[in-house]
Amino acid sequence: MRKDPTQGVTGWTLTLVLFVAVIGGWELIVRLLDVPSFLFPTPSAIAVGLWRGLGSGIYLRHTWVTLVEVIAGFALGSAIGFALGVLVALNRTVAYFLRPYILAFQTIPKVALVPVIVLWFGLGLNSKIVAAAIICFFPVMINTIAGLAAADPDRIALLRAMGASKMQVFRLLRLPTAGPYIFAGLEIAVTFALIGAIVAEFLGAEAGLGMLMQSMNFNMDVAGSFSILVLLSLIGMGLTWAIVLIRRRVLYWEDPADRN
Amino acid sequence: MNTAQTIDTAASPALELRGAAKTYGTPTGGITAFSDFDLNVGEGEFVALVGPSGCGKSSLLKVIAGLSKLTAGQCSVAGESLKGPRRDIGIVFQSPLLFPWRTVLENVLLPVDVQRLGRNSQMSVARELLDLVDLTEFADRYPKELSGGMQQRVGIARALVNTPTILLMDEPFGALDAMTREHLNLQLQRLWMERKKTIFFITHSIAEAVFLADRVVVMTSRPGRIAEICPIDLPRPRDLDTMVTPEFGEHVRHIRQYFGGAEGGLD
Ligand SMILES: Nc1ncnc2c1ncn2[C@@H]1O[C@H](COP(=O)(O)OP(=O)(O)O)[C@@H](O)[C@H]1O
Ligand SMILES: [Mg+2]
Repeated sequence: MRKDPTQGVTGWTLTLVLFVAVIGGWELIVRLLDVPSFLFPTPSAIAVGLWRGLGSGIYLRHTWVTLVEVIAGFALGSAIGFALGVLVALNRTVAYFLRPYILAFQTIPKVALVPVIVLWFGLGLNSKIVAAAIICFFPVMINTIAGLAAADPDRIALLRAMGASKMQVFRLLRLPTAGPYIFAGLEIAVTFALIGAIVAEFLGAEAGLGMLMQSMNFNMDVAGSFSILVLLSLIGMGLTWAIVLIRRRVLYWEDPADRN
Repeated sequence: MNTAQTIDTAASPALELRGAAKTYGTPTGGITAFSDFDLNVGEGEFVALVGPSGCGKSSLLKVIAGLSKLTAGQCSVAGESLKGPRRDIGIVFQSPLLFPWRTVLENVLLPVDVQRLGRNSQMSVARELLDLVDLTEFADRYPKELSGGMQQRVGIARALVNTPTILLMDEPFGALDAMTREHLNLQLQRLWMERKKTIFFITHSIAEAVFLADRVVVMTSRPGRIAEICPIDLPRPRDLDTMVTPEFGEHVRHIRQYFGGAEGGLD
Protein backbone atom coordinates (compact mmCIF):
# COMPACT_ATOMS: atom_id res chain seq x y z
CA MET A 1 0.00 0.00 0.00
CA ARG A 2 1.11 3.55 -0.79
CA LYS A 3 1.68 5.97 2.04
CA ASP A 4 -1.15 8.41 2.58
CA PRO A 5 0.29 11.99 2.80
CA THR A 6 -2.69 13.17 4.90
CA GLN A 7 -1.89 10.73 7.71
CA GLY A 8 0.65 10.86 10.53
CA VAL A 9 2.87 13.56 12.00
CA THR A 10 3.86 15.18 8.69
CA GLY A 11 0.15 15.41 7.84
CA TRP A 12 -0.58 17.37 11.01
CA THR A 13 2.40 19.64 10.55
CA LEU A 14 1.40 20.44 6.98
CA THR A 15 -2.18 21.14 8.05
CA LEU A 16 -0.95 23.54 10.72
CA VAL A 17 1.50 25.30 8.41
CA LEU A 18 -1.19 25.75 5.79
CA PHE A 19 -3.65 27.11 8.36
CA VAL A 20 -1.15 29.66 9.66
CA ALA A 21 -0.26 30.69 6.10
CA VAL A 22 -3.90 31.25 5.10
CA ILE A 23 -4.76 33.21 8.22
CA GLY A 24 -1.52 35.19 8.08
CA GLY A 25 -1.99 35.95 4.39
CA TRP A 26 -5.56 37.11 5.01
CA GLU A 27 -4.44 39.39 7.88
CA LEU A 28 -1.63 40.80 5.76
CA ILE A 29 -3.73 41.47 2.67
CA VAL A 30 -6.56 43.19 4.57
CA ARG A 31 -4.03 45.39 6.42
CA LEU A 32 -1.89 46.22 3.36
CA LEU A 33 -4.89 47.10 1.22
CA ASP A 34 -6.41 49.04 4.11
CA VAL A 35 -9.84 47.47 3.70
CA PRO A 36 -12.32 49.18 6.10
CA SER A 37 -13.13 46.83 9.00
CA PHE A 38 -16.90 47.14 8.44
CA LEU A 39 -16.46 45.64 4.95
CA PHE A 40 -14.01 42.87 5.63
CA PRO A 41 -12.50 42.14 9.03
CA THR A 42 -9.03 40.85 9.82
CA PRO A 43 -8.67 37.44 11.45
CA SER A 44 -7.34 39.12 14.57
CA ALA A 45 -10.47 41.29 14.82
CA ILE A 46 -12.62 38.18 14.45
CA ALA A 47 -10.60 36.42 17.15
CA VAL A 48 -11.07 39.39 19.47
CA GLY A 49 -14.83 39.37 18.78
CA LEU A 50 -14.95 35.66 19.53
CA TRP A 51 -12.96 36.11 22.72
CA ARG A 52 -15.18 38.93 24.01
CA GLY A 53 -18.40 37.17 23.10
CA LEU A 54 -17.38 33.95 24.74
CA GLY A 55 -15.92 35.70 27.78
CA SER A 56 -19.06 37.73 28.47
CA GLY A 57 -21.20 34.58 28.28
CA ILE A 58 -23.43 36.09 25.57
CA TYR A 59 -22.26 33.69 22.87
CA LEU A 60 -22.73 30.68 25.08
CA ARG A 61 -26.30 31.63 25.93
CA HIS A 62 -27.24 32.05 22.27
CA THR A 63 -25.26 28.98 21.23
CA TRP A 64 -27.29 26.97 23.69
CA VAL A 65 -30.56 28.25 22.19
CA THR A 66 -29.46 27.48 18.63
CA LEU A 67 -28.13 24.07 19.63
CA VAL A 68 -31.44 23.12 21.25
CA GLU A 69 -33.32 24.22 18.11
CA VAL A 70 -31.01 22.33 15.80
CA ILE A 71 -30.95 19.11 17.80
CA ALA A 72 -34.71 19.10 18.42
CA GLY A 73 -35.40 19.92 14.75
CA PHE A 74 -32.95 17.31 13.59
CA ALA A 75 -34.46 14.65 15.85
CA LEU A 76 -37.99 15.52 14.73
CA GLY A 77 -37.12 15.74 11.03
CA SER A 78 -35.05 12.57 11.04
CA ALA A 79 -37.75 10.63 12.85
CA ILE A 80 -40.37 11.79 10.33
CA GLY A 81 -38.02 11.16 7.40
CA PHE A 82 -37.23 7.68 8.64
CA ALA A 83 -40.86 6.81 9.33
CA LEU A 84 -42.01 8.04 5.90
CA GLY A 85 -39.12 6.22 4.26
CA VAL A 86 -40.09 2.96 5.94
CA LEU A 87 -43.73 3.45 4.98
CA VAL A 88 -42.86 4.12 1.33
CA ALA A 89 -40.38 1.24 1.19
CA LEU A 90 -42.71 -1.32 2.73
CA ASN A 91 -46.07 -0.42 1.28
CA ARG A 92 -46.50 -0.24 -2.48
CA THR A 93 -49.83 1.56 -2.27
CA VAL A 94 -48.43 4.26 0.00
CA ALA A 95 -45.40 4.56 -2.27
CA TYR A 96 -47.61 4.95 -5.33
CA PHE A 97 -49.75 7.71 -3.87
CA LEU A 98 -46.94 9.51 -2.11
CA ARG A 99 -44.50 9.59 -5.02
CA PRO A 100 -45.90 12.68 -6.82
CA TYR A 101 -45.83 14.66 -3.57
CA ILE A 102 -42.30 13.57 -2.86
CA LEU A 103 -41.23 14.66 -6.34
CA ALA A 104 -43.01 17.99 -5.96
CA PHE A 105 -41.50 18.59 -2.55
CA GLN A 106 -38.06 17.63 -3.81
CA THR A 107 -38.01 20.54 -6.23
CA ILE A 108 -39.09 23.23 -3.73
CA PRO A 109 -36.18 25.17 -2.26
CA LYS A 110 -37.02 24.30 1.33
CA VAL A 111 -35.63 27.58 2.76
CA ALA A 112 -38.39 29.38 0.86
CA LEU A 113 -40.84 27.82 3.32
CA VAL A 114 -39.15 29.30 6.37
CA PRO A 115 -40.85 32.75 6.32
CA VAL A 116 -44.25 31.06 6.37
CA ILE A 117 -43.16 28.77 9.17
CA VAL A 118 -42.06 31.75 11.25
CA LEU A 119 -45.42 33.36 10.54
CA TRP A 120 -47.25 30.24 11.70
CA PHE A 121 -45.16 29.22 14.67
CA GLY A 122 -44.06 32.59 16.02
CA LEU A 123 -40.77 34.06 17.18
CA GLY A 124 -39.97 31.42 19.80
CA LEU A 125 -38.24 28.05 19.60
CA ASN A 126 -41.07 26.25 17.81
CA SER A 127 -40.67 27.94 14.44
CA LYS A 128 -36.91 27.20 14.46
CA ILE A 129 -37.46 23.56 15.33
CA VAL A 130 -40.09 23.16 12.61
CA ALA A 131 -37.89 24.93 10.04
CA ALA A 132 -34.92 22.73 10.91
CA ALA A 133 -37.11 19.62 10.74
CA ILE A 134 -38.68 20.51 7.38
CA ILE A 135 -35.33 21.18 5.78
CA CYS A 136 -33.63 18.10 7.18
CA PHE A 137 -36.24 15.34 6.90
CA PHE A 138 -35.90 14.96 3.16
CA PRO A 139 -32.39 13.50 2.85
CA VAL A 140 -33.19 11.05 5.64
CA MET A 141 -36.38 9.93 3.91
CA ILE A 142 -34.78 9.53 0.48
CA ASN A 143 -31.81 7.62 1.87
CA THR A 144 -34.05 5.40 3.97
CA ILE A 145 -36.08 4.50 0.88
CA ALA A 146 -32.94 3.80 -1.15
CA GLY A 147 -31.33 1.82 1.67
CA LEU A 148 -34.34 -0.37 2.36
CA ALA A 149 -34.58 -1.14 -1.36
CA ALA A 150 -30.91 -2.06 -1.53
CA ALA A 151 -31.23 -5.46 0.16
CA ASP A 152 -29.82 -8.19 -2.03
CA PRO A 153 -32.54 -10.39 -3.66
CA ASP A 154 -30.55 -13.58 -3.02
CA ARG A 155 -30.44 -12.90 0.69
CA ILE A 156 -34.15 -12.14 0.66
CA ALA A 157 -34.73 -15.49 -1.08
CA LEU A 158 -32.56 -17.21 1.50
CA LEU A 159 -34.59 -15.74 4.35
CA ARG A 160 -37.88 -16.55 2.69
CA ALA A 161 -36.75 -20.14 2.14
CA MET A 162 -36.14 -20.32 5.89
CA GLY A 163 -39.75 -19.27 6.36
CA ALA A 164 -39.12 -15.63 7.30
CA SER A 165 -42.09 -13.24 7.38
CA LYS A 166 -42.02 -9.84 5.69
CA MET A 167 -41.38 -8.23 9.07
CA GLN A 168 -38.46 -10.57 9.72
CA VAL A 169 -36.93 -9.81 6.34
CA PHE A 170 -37.25 -6.14 7.27
CA ARG A 171 -35.67 -6.51 10.70
CA LEU A 172 -33.00 -9.08 9.90
CA LEU A 173 -31.94 -7.82 6.48
CA ARG A 174 -33.45 -4.63 5.09
CA LEU A 175 -32.86 -2.41 8.10
CA PRO A 176 -29.19 -3.34 8.67
CA THR A 177 -28.57 -3.05 4.91
CA ALA A 178 -30.11 0.42 4.99
CA GLY A 179 -27.91 1.47 7.95
CA PRO A 180 -25.08 3.06 5.94
CA TYR A 181 -27.56 4.86 3.67
CA ILE A 182 -29.56 6.20 6.61
CA PHE A 183 -26.44 7.47 8.36
CA ALA A 184 -25.25 9.16 5.17
CA GLY A 185 -28.67 10.88 5.17
CA LEU A 186 -28.32 11.86 8.84
CA GLU A 187 -24.91 13.43 8.19
CA ILE A 188 -26.44 15.65 5.50
CA ALA A 189 -29.54 16.27 7.60
CA VAL A 190 -27.68 17.61 10.61
CA THR A 191 -26.04 20.40 8.61
CA PHE A 192 -29.39 21.07 6.92
CA ALA A 193 -31.02 21.41 10.33
CA LEU A 194 -28.44 24.04 11.25
CA ILE A 195 -29.26 25.99 8.09
CA GLY A 196 -32.99 25.76 8.84
CA ALA A 197 -32.65 27.03 12.40
CA ILE A 198 -30.33 29.91 11.45
CA VAL A 199 -32.49 31.09 8.55
CA ALA A 200 -35.56 31.01 10.81
CA GLU A 201 -33.65 33.04 13.40
CA PHE A 202 -32.71 35.60 10.73
CA LEU A 203 -36.38 36.05 9.95
CA GLY A 204 -37.44 36.69 13.50
CA ALA A 205 -36.29 35.36 16.82
CA GLU A 206 -35.84 36.30 20.45
CA ALA A 207 -32.53 34.51 20.87
CA GLY A 208 -29.97 32.36 19.07
CA LEU A 209 -26.79 32.84 17.06
CA GLY A 210 -28.69 33.73 13.89
CA MET A 211 -30.55 36.49 15.67
CA LEU A 212 -27.31 37.72 17.25
CA MET A 213 -25.62 37.79 13.87
CA GLN A 214 -28.53 39.70 12.41
CA SER A 215 -28.30 42.39 15.07
CA MET A 216 -24.53 42.64 14.58
CA ASN A 217 -25.09 43.18 10.88
CA PHE A 218 -27.41 46.08 11.69
CA ASN A 219 -24.62 47.58 13.78
CA MET A 220 -22.09 46.98 10.98
CA ASP A 221 -20.11 44.76 13.34
CA VAL A 222 -18.78 42.54 10.56
CA ALA A 223 -16.00 41.12 12.71
CA GLY A 224 -18.66 40.05 15.23
CA SER A 225 -20.71 38.43 12.46
CA PHE A 226 -17.66 36.55 11.28
CA SER A 227 -16.89 35.41 14.80
CA ILE A 228 -20.35 33.87 14.92
CA LEU A 229 -19.73 32.22 11.57
CA VAL A 230 -16.68 30.60 13.14
CA LEU A 231 -18.87 29.40 15.98
CA LEU A 232 -21.48 28.04 13.57
CA SER A 233 -18.88 26.20 11.60
CA LEU A 234 -17.56 24.64 14.82
CA ILE A 235 -21.10 23.62 15.78
CA GLY A 236 -21.66 22.08 12.35
CA MET A 237 -18.43 20.13 12.55
CA GLY A 238 -19.17 19.02 16.10
CA LEU A 239 -22.62 17.73 15.19
CA THR A 240 -21.35 15.90 12.10
CA TRP A 241 -18.59 14.37 14.18
CA ALA A 242 -21.16 13.22 16.74
CA ILE A 243 -23.14 11.48 13.98
CA VAL A 244 -19.97 9.81 12.74
CA LEU A 245 -19.24 8.54 16.26
CA ILE A 246 -22.76 7.19 16.64
CA ARG A 247 -22.46 5.58 13.22
CA ARG A 248 -19.32 3.75 14.26
CA ARG A 249 -21.15 2.30 17.23
CA VAL A 250 -24.37 1.39 15.45
CA LEU A 251 -22.79 0.12 12.23
CA TYR A 252 -20.02 -1.71 14.07
CA TRP A 253 -19.45 -4.17 11.20
CA GLU A 254 -18.62 -1.48 8.65
CA ASP A 255 -15.14 -1.43 7.22
CA PRO A 256 -13.59 1.99 8.00
CA ALA A 257 -12.30 2.04 4.40
CA ASP A 258 -15.86 1.69 3.04
CA ARG A 259 -17.13 4.76 4.83
CA ASN A 260 -17.18 7.98 2.91
CA MET B 1 -48.05 -46.49 -3.25
CA ASN B 2 -47.31 -45.98 -6.90
CA THR B 3 -44.72 -48.74 -7.05
CA ALA B 4 -44.37 -48.57 -10.78
CA GLN B 5 -42.91 -45.06 -10.59
CA THR B 6 -40.74 -45.37 -7.50
CA ILE B 7 -38.56 -48.25 -8.59
CA ASP B 8 -35.65 -45.95 -9.26
CA THR B 9 -35.20 -45.07 -5.60
CA ALA B 10 -33.53 -46.93 -2.79
CA ALA B 11 -35.93 -45.94 -0.01
CA SER B 12 -39.19 -44.01 0.38
CA PRO B 13 -38.90 -40.77 -1.59
CA ALA B 14 -37.77 -37.73 0.33
CA LEU B 15 -38.41 -35.70 -2.78
CA GLU B 16 -40.66 -36.52 -5.68
CA LEU B 17 -41.12 -34.66 -8.96
CA ARG B 18 -43.73 -35.76 -11.50
CA GLY B 19 -43.99 -34.16 -14.92
CA ALA B 20 -42.62 -30.99 -13.36
CA ALA B 21 -42.25 -27.95 -15.60
CA LYS B 22 -41.55 -24.27 -15.14
CA THR B 23 -42.30 -21.61 -17.71
CA TYR B 24 -41.55 -17.98 -16.93
CA GLY B 25 -43.92 -15.45 -18.39
CA THR B 26 -42.03 -12.62 -20.04
CA PRO B 27 -43.22 -9.67 -22.14
CA THR B 28 -41.94 -11.41 -25.27
CA GLY B 29 -43.64 -14.72 -24.45
CA GLY B 30 -42.77 -17.65 -22.22
CA ILE B 31 -39.35 -19.02 -21.37
CA THR B 32 -39.49 -22.67 -20.43
CA ALA B 33 -36.75 -23.31 -17.89
CA PHE B 34 -37.35 -27.08 -17.62
CA SER B 35 -40.10 -29.55 -18.44
CA ASP B 36 -41.13 -33.21 -18.16
CA PHE B 37 -39.03 -33.58 -15.08
CA ASP B 38 -39.58 -36.90 -13.29
CA LEU B 39 -37.38 -37.75 -10.35
CA ASN B 40 -37.54 -39.54 -7.02
CA VAL B 41 -34.85 -38.86 -4.48
CA GLY B 42 -34.68 -41.44 -1.71
CA GLU B 43 -34.21 -40.61 1.92
CA GLY B 44 -30.52 -40.27 2.71
CA GLU B 45 -29.61 -40.32 -0.95
CA PHE B 46 -27.05 -38.02 -2.56
CA VAL B 47 -28.28 -36.94 -5.97
CA ALA B 48 -26.32 -34.58 -8.19
CA LEU B 49 -27.76 -32.64 -11.08
CA VAL B 50 -25.46 -31.60 -13.92
CA GLY B 51 -26.30 -29.54 -16.95
CA PRO B 52 -25.09 -26.54 -18.94
CA SER B 53 -25.92 -23.08 -17.65
CA GLY B 54 -29.39 -21.89 -18.42
CA CYS B 55 -30.88 -25.40 -18.50
CA GLY B 56 -33.10 -24.64 -15.52
CA LYS B 57 -31.16 -26.13 -12.60
CA SER B 58 -31.56 -23.13 -10.31
CA SER B 59 -35.18 -22.75 -11.33
CA LEU B 60 -35.80 -26.33 -10.22
CA LEU B 61 -34.04 -25.73 -6.94
CA LYS B 62 -36.10 -22.61 -6.26
CA VAL B 63 -39.25 -24.66 -6.78
CA ILE B 64 -38.12 -27.31 -4.30
CA ALA B 65 -37.15 -24.56 -1.87
CA GLY B 66 -40.72 -23.29 -2.05
CA LEU B 67 -39.64 -19.96 -3.55
CA SER B 68 -41.44 -20.39 -6.85
CA LYS B 69 -44.26 -22.52 -8.21
CA LEU B 70 -44.32 -25.15 -10.91
CA THR B 71 -46.36 -24.31 -13.99
CA ALA B 72 -47.11 -28.00 -14.57
CA GLY B 73 -46.71 -31.27 -12.73
CA GLN B 74 -46.20 -31.94 -9.06
CA CYS B 75 -43.52 -31.69 -6.46
CA SER B 76 -43.81 -33.35 -3.09
CA VAL B 77 -41.48 -33.53 -0.14
CA ALA B 78 -41.73 -36.35 2.40
CA GLY B 79 -44.98 -37.41 0.78
CA GLU B 80 -46.62 -34.00 1.11
CA SER B 81 -47.40 -31.82 -1.86
CA LEU B 82 -45.24 -28.69 -1.70
CA LYS B 83 -47.00 -25.45 -0.76
CA GLY B 84 -44.20 -23.10 0.19
CA PRO B 85 -40.89 -22.97 2.07
CA ARG B 86 -40.43 -25.93 4.43
CA ARG B 87 -38.44 -26.04 7.63
CA ASP B 88 -37.06 -29.50 6.92
CA ILE B 89 -35.19 -28.17 3.87
CA GLY B 90 -31.86 -26.37 4.13
CA ILE B 91 -30.31 -24.45 1.24
CA VAL B 92 -26.79 -23.49 0.20
CA PHE B 93 -26.38 -21.15 -2.76
CA GLN B 94 -23.36 -20.47 -4.92
CA SER B 95 -22.39 -17.39 -2.95
CA PRO B 96 -22.25 -17.77 0.83
CA LEU B 97 -24.76 -14.93 1.42
CA LEU B 98 -23.58 -14.31 4.96
CA PHE B 99 -24.87 -11.31 6.89
CA PRO B 100 -21.92 -8.97 7.54
CA TRP B 101 -23.34 -7.62 10.82
CA ARG B 102 -23.53 -11.10 12.32
CA THR B 103 -20.59 -13.04 13.66
CA VAL B 104 -19.88 -16.45 12.19
CA LEU B 105 -21.78 -18.11 15.03
CA GLU B 106 -24.70 -15.69 14.68
CA ASN B 107 -24.79 -16.38 10.95
CA VAL B 108 -25.06 -20.08 11.64
CA LEU B 109 -27.90 -19.30 14.05
CA LEU B 110 -29.90 -17.32 11.46
CA PRO B 111 -32.48 -20.08 10.79
CA VAL B 112 -32.84 -20.50 14.56
CA ASP B 113 -33.70 -16.80 14.87
CA VAL B 114 -36.07 -16.85 11.91
CA GLN B 115 -37.89 -19.95 13.13
CA ARG B 116 -37.78 -18.78 16.76
CA LEU B 117 -36.24 -22.02 18.00
CA GLY B 118 -34.41 -20.25 20.82
CA ARG B 119 -30.68 -19.54 20.57
CA ASN B 120 -29.87 -21.08 23.94
CA SER B 121 -31.28 -24.48 23.11
CA GLN B 122 -29.61 -24.55 19.69
CA MET B 123 -26.23 -23.15 20.71
CA SER B 124 -24.63 -26.56 21.15
CA VAL B 125 -25.89 -27.69 17.74
CA ALA B 126 -24.45 -24.55 16.14
CA ARG B 127 -21.06 -25.01 17.82
CA GLU B 128 -21.00 -28.68 16.86
CA LEU B 129 -21.62 -27.72 13.23
CA LEU B 130 -18.83 -25.15 13.36
CA ASP B 131 -16.60 -27.98 14.59
CA LEU B 132 -17.76 -30.15 11.73
CA VAL B 133 -16.74 -27.53 9.16
CA ASP B 134 -13.49 -26.76 11.02
CA LEU B 135 -14.37 -23.21 12.00
CA THR B 136 -14.46 -23.46 15.78
CA GLU B 137 -11.87 -20.73 16.31
CA PHE B 138 -13.73 -18.36 14.01
CA ALA B 139 -17.07 -18.43 15.84
CA ASP B 140 -16.82 -14.81 16.98
CA ARG B 141 -15.27 -13.35 13.86
CA TYR B 142 -17.15 -11.39 11.22
CA PRO B 143 -17.58 -12.74 7.66
CA LYS B 144 -15.25 -10.17 6.08
CA GLU B 145 -12.38 -11.74 8.02
CA LEU B 146 -12.95 -15.12 6.33
CA SER B 147 -11.84 -16.48 2.96
CA GLY B 148 -14.41 -17.50 0.33
CA GLY B 149 -14.09 -21.18 1.16
CA MET B 150 -14.49 -20.53 4.88
CA GLN B 151 -17.56 -18.38 4.22
CA GLN B 152 -19.12 -21.15 2.17
CA ARG B 153 -18.53 -23.58 5.05
CA VAL B 154 -20.35 -21.17 7.35
CA GLY B 155 -23.20 -21.23 4.81
CA ILE B 156 -23.28 -25.02 4.99
CA ALA B 157 -23.33 -25.02 8.79
CA ARG B 158 -26.15 -22.47 8.66
CA ALA B 159 -28.17 -24.69 6.33
CA LEU B 160 -27.86 -27.57 8.79
CA VAL B 161 -28.47 -25.82 12.11
CA ASN B 162 -32.19 -26.44 12.31
CA THR B 163 -31.51 -30.11 11.43
CA PRO B 164 -33.31 -30.25 8.10
CA THR B 165 -33.62 -33.68 6.49
CA ILE B 166 -33.02 -32.39 2.99
CA LEU B 167 -30.13 -30.21 1.88
CA LEU B 168 -30.39 -28.34 -1.43
CA MET B 169 -27.11 -27.06 -2.84
CA ASP B 170 -26.91 -24.85 -5.92
CA GLU B 171 -23.34 -24.91 -7.26
CA PRO B 172 -22.08 -24.35 -3.71
CA PHE B 173 -18.39 -24.64 -4.63
CA GLY B 174 -18.61 -23.13 -8.11
CA ALA B 175 -16.88 -19.89 -7.16
CA LEU B 176 -13.96 -21.52 -5.34
CA ASP B 177 -10.50 -22.50 -6.53
CA ALA B 178 -9.84 -26.16 -7.39
CA MET B 179 -7.91 -27.01 -4.21
CA THR B 180 -10.51 -25.55 -1.86
CA ARG B 181 -13.18 -27.23 -3.88
CA GLU B 182 -11.65 -30.71 -3.53
CA HIS B 183 -11.23 -30.16 0.16
CA LEU B 184 -14.85 -29.11 0.59
CA ASN B 185 -16.05 -32.05 -1.51
CA LEU B 186 -14.31 -34.39 0.92
CA GLN B 187 -15.79 -32.53 3.88
CA LEU B 188 -19.25 -32.63 2.37
CA GLN B 189 -19.02 -36.38 1.79
CA ARG B 190 -17.95 -36.90 5.40
CA LEU B 191 -20.76 -34.68 6.65
CA TRP B 192 -23.29 -36.54 4.53
CA MET B 193 -22.06 -39.93 5.70
CA GLU B 194 -22.14 -38.83 9.35
CA ARG B 195 -25.45 -37.01 9.27
CA LYS B 196 -27.41 -39.06 6.76
CA LYS B 197 -29.06 -36.15 5.02
CA THR B 198 -30.79 -36.30 1.70
CA ILE B 199 -28.72 -34.07 -0.56
CA PHE B 200 -29.76 -32.59 -3.88
CA PHE B 201 -26.62 -31.09 -5.33
CA ILE B 202 -26.49 -28.92 -8.44
CA THR B 203 -23.18 -28.54 -10.17
CA HIS B 204 -21.47 -27.51 -13.33
CA SER B 205 -18.69 -30.00 -12.90
CA ILE B 206 -19.18 -33.57 -14.09
CA ALA B 207 -16.23 -34.77 -12.01
CA GLU B 208 -17.67 -33.20 -8.87
CA ALA B 209 -21.05 -34.81 -9.52
CA VAL B 210 -19.52 -38.27 -10.07
CA PHE B 211 -17.29 -37.90 -7.04
CA LEU B 212 -20.10 -36.99 -4.66
CA ALA B 213 -23.31 -38.57 -5.83
CA ASP B 214 -25.12 -41.88 -5.61
CA ARG B 215 -26.87 -40.90 -8.80
CA VAL B 216 -26.15 -38.19 -11.33
CA VAL B 217 -29.08 -36.63 -13.14
CA VAL B 218 -27.91 -35.36 -16.52
CA MET B 219 -29.87 -32.46 -17.96
CA THR B 220 -29.74 -31.08 -21.46
CA SER B 221 -30.67 -27.57 -22.37
CA ARG B 222 -33.56 -25.67 -23.79
CA PRO B 223 -35.90 -26.53 -22.40
CA GLY B 224 -34.08 -28.48 -19.72
CA ARG B 225 -34.99 -32.15 -19.68
CA ILE B 226 -33.51 -35.23 -18.08
CA ALA B 227 -31.24 -36.99 -20.57
CA GLU B 228 -30.21 -39.80 -18.26
CA ILE B 229 -29.97 -40.76 -14.63
CA CYS B 230 -26.65 -42.46 -14.01
CA PRO B 231 -26.07 -44.57 -10.89
CA ILE B 232 -22.55 -44.15 -9.54
CA ASP B 233 -21.50 -47.37 -7.83
CA LEU B 234 -18.04 -46.24 -6.67
CA PRO B 235 -17.31 -47.43 -3.11
CA ARG B 236 -17.41 -45.03 -0.14
CA PRO B 237 -15.77 -43.21 1.36
CA ARG B 238 -14.36 -41.84 -1.87
CA ASP B 239 -11.10 -39.94 -1.75
CA LEU B 240 -8.82 -38.10 -4.14
CA ASP B 241 -7.44 -41.43 -5.40
CA THR B 242 -10.96 -42.39 -6.46
CA MET B 243 -10.73 -39.67 -9.10
CA VAL B 244 -7.89 -41.41 -10.92
CA THR B 245 -9.53 -44.85 -11.08
CA PRO B 246 -10.65 -46.14 -14.50
CA GLU B 247 -14.24 -46.54 -13.20
CA PHE B 248 -14.38 -42.87 -12.23
CA GLY B 249 -13.03 -41.86 -15.62
CA GLU B 250 -15.56 -44.09 -17.34
CA HIS B 251 -18.49 -42.41 -15.54
CA VAL B 252 -17.17 -38.96 -16.39
CA ARG B 253 -16.65 -39.88 -20.03
CA HIS B 254 -20.10 -41.40 -20.25
CA ILE B 255 -21.78 -38.26 -18.92
CA ARG B 256 -19.62 -35.93 -20.97
CA GLN B 257 -20.88 -37.44 -24.21
CA TYR B 258 -24.09 -35.48 -23.68
CA PHE B 259 -22.26 -32.20 -23.78
CA GLY B 260 -19.66 -32.79 -26.45
CA GLY B 261 -16.11 -32.04 -25.58
CA ALA B 262 -14.96 -29.81 -22.73
CA GLU B 263 -12.75 -30.97 -19.86
CA GLY B 264 -14.76 -32.00 -16.72
CA GLY B 265 -16.91 -28.81 -16.95
CA LEU B 266 -19.75 -27.86 -19.19
CA ASP B 267 -19.76 -24.52 -21.04
N1 LIG C 1 -37.21 -15.08 -12.79
C1 LIG C 1 -37.02 -15.41 -14.10
N2 LIG C 1 -37.77 -14.82 -15.06
C2 LIG C 1 -37.59 -15.15 -16.36
N3 LIG C 1 -36.72 -16.05 -16.81
C3 LIG C 1 -35.94 -16.68 -15.91
C4 LIG C 1 -36.04 -16.39 -14.50
N4 LIG C 1 -35.15 -17.16 -13.83
C5 LIG C 1 -34.51 -17.89 -14.78
N5 LIG C 1 -34.98 -17.61 -16.02
C6 LIG C 1 -34.56 -18.23 -17.28
O1 LIG C 1 -34.75 -19.63 -17.16
C7 LIG C 1 -33.67 -20.32 -17.75
C8 LIG C 1 -33.04 -21.25 -16.73
O2 LIG C 1 -32.37 -20.48 -15.76
P1 LIG C 1 -31.69 -21.12 -14.46
O3 LIG C 1 -32.70 -21.96 -13.78
O4 LIG C 1 -31.06 -20.05 -13.68
O5 LIG C 1 -30.58 -22.05 -15.15
P2 LIG C 1 -29.26 -22.69 -14.54
O6 LIG C 1 -29.31 -22.59 -13.06
O7 LIG C 1 -29.28 -24.10 -15.03
O8 LIG C 1 -28.11 -21.96 -15.12
C9 LIG C 1 -32.72 -19.28 -18.29
O9 LIG C 1 -32.96 -19.13 -19.66
C10 LIG C 1 -33.09 -18.03 -17.53
O10 LIG C 1 -32.86 -16.89 -18.32
MG1 LIG D 1 -27.91 -21.70 -11.70
